[in-house]
Amino acid sequence: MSEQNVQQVYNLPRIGDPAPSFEVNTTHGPIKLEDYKGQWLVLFSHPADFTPVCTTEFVGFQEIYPQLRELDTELLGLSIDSTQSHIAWVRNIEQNFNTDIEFPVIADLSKEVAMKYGMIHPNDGGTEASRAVFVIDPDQVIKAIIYYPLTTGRNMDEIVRLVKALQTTVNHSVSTPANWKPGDKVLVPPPASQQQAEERMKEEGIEVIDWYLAKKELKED
Amino acid sequence: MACIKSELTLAPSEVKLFLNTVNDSKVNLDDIKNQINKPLFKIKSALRELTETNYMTETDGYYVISDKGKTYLAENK
Repeated sequence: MSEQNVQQVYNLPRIGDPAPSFEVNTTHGPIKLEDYKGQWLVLFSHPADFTPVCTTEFVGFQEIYPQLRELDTELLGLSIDSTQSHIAWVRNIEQNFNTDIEFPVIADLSKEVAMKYGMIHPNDGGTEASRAVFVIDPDQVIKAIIYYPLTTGRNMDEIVRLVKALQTTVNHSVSTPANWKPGDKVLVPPPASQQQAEERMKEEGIEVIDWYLAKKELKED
Repeated sequence: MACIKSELTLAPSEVKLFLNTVNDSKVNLDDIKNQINKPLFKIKSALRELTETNYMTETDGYYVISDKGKTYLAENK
């Protein structure tokens, strides 16, 4: 096989996989993935510092950071830039937008983390990281993945909604319907047998639309 | 890559904060977490950095300031 045809194949992490470990330099000093054990983590990548869409996103991520922290969720950014570049950009954002970026940003110059998480999509961004979001649970298992192209800024409200929905699922063993938001009814697991289906149709206290689709109010703990 | 590298990535105020927290007695992560108003990842990272650079020692989950840490505090009041 010629050198030109040799391609390195990476196993990209999928939902349900253990989050690939890392030890990295960040704007807050050296950090290991395991430093977040016991908490939820939103790990996101952006293409490059000092670029327009990314700058609007960073302001947006900082705006949702207090909400995420209330959900015991930390935020960690990443791009293939140096710590010095990140520091300069974060200071620039503070000057231009009066926004103090409080979460750390990984300086992944070696692309080690970006490769492990499949953040580089060569046909969209060349060697830059795409707009990836990984939601990682307290046991450091990947619970959700979002990818956006370089041209399109992410929806911050959706990221908060996603974390809330995932935590609701974990804490209450339920699913959440389309456009669910806290306070809305949740979905109960569908019957696993014909007898269960029969009884589900007569069940009181839940909204049965059909035997396989039923909603209920979530009682607050 | 920078042409010169600091021994620590922690700011002087952070070094003093963590060293002062372990200065009086040996404390564990929970004790430190209750005393320092910082995110947990930041506390874990700072403790690792300060033990790796010998400003404090860690044994069985308990942190104790080292002679180097005491000297730092004395010189940086």
